Amino acid sequence: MKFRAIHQLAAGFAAGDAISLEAVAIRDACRALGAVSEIYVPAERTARDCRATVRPLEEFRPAPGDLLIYHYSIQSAATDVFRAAAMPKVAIYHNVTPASYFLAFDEQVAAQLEAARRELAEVAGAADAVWADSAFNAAELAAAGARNVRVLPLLFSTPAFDVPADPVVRQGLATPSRKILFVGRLAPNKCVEELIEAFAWYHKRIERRSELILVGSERSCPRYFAMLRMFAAELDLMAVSFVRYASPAGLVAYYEGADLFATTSRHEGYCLPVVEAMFKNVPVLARNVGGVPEAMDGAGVLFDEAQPEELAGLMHQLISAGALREEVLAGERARIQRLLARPVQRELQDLLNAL
Amino acid sequence: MKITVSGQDRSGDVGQAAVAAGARLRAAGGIGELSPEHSALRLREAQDCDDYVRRFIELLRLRHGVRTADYYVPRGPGLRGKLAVALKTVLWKLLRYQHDRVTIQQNLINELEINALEFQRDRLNRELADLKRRVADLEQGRAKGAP
Repeated sequence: MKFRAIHQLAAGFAAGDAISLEAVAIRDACRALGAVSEIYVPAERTARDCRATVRPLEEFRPAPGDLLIYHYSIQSAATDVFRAAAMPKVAIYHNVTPASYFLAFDEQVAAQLEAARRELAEVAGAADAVWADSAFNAAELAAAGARNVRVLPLLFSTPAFDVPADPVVRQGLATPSRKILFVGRLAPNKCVEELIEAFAWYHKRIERRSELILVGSERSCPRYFAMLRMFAAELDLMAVSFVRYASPAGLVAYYEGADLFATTSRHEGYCLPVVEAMFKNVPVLARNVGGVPEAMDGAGVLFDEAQPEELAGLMHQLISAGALREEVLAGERARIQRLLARPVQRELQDLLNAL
Repeated sequence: MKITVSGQDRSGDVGQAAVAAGARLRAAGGIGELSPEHSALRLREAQDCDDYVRRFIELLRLRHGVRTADYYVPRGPGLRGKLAVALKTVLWKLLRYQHDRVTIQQNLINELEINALEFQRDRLNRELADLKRRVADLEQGRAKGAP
């Protein structure tokens, strides 16, 4: 092993968050390769239930022979630590959401995103190597001036999904209604309102016994969340549930209870939940944007643009037992087999050896 | 409508079926009750956070009332399902005598709370405008060399 220690920096850390899951997967892979490995995160940006998993950013001490990996996605105190650290460094680009999505809802977050885009080239320039978790993100990096960008597709950690489903959540889902699931932050770029509108058509005109379950935190944009709730109420939709937090076992229960996973997001660097849904044998319907096709890897159903009532029709085709549903599920099983066969440690070692 | 299923372009069959289903649904009528100009989605057009809050309170004003109209009762299969629906419908009509009184009180509270929000926003706006004016006066005075 080329490095004695490989540490990581992240702007925040929360259970179920894609970047946090990848940081843990990389840490475990590095430890398996024989390196000391820790994740450092600003204390105030670490979810309370994750404080035992990571260490406070203030405790990070750079050492010349070690390697530092920075998960870059938003402006953060970790950026300054990364820039100042005199040691071999890698930046992993997870994409920065365009600020325009947040302007109406949160000027402060919009400014942070704007700053993160401005600093992208500088962060990439401060690193000895730049990795991206999708070819889509690599193309953005290249456009920002970064050279020799390597793609390390987002790591998928199966142990998080091998836990038994939460019995309380599972019992709550044991109703005969059709369940459409969305998992992800409730943020403006996800365009959850389009999903709610499509569901309204499905629920009111196709299948009354149906529910839309939205699992994801609203903390990144409470004003957007308020809009979503107001919109669902305006459509008189009692069948939309906002689940703002799910434990790993709870998340497993939601996936296992779902008839369809759907997302109408308009900006994604990768979109890990589509992989999670496929792993749990749930058909996936997603918009063909950003890194989503890479996450789907030739499985599931992608749409480009569609009217909400057309999406409702598509949902109906996928939820109804039939040849299309079986075809989609078979494709997803094959995609998961490819994913599980992925030699993660070797990929990581090759990238590290190239440093 | 472009649709890709398991990596294959299926716009011709799956996409066409979805378009046809969409046309059928549209022909059966809309799903919302509010006009688009009063929709919560107008919040996406806010210029900044202040504009968002102003629009939000305006929209809230249109929504303070708790709905008491009859609602759809899910129908189970068979005779048991029919009986359950009939029972729930009767129960709902009976409950409305008590429920409507509570609703009227709740609507009143909601409306007063919106008023309180508007009064507070107006007061804060006036205070802010006054402070800005005073800061501008002070800065102007300092620029002119006043002690």
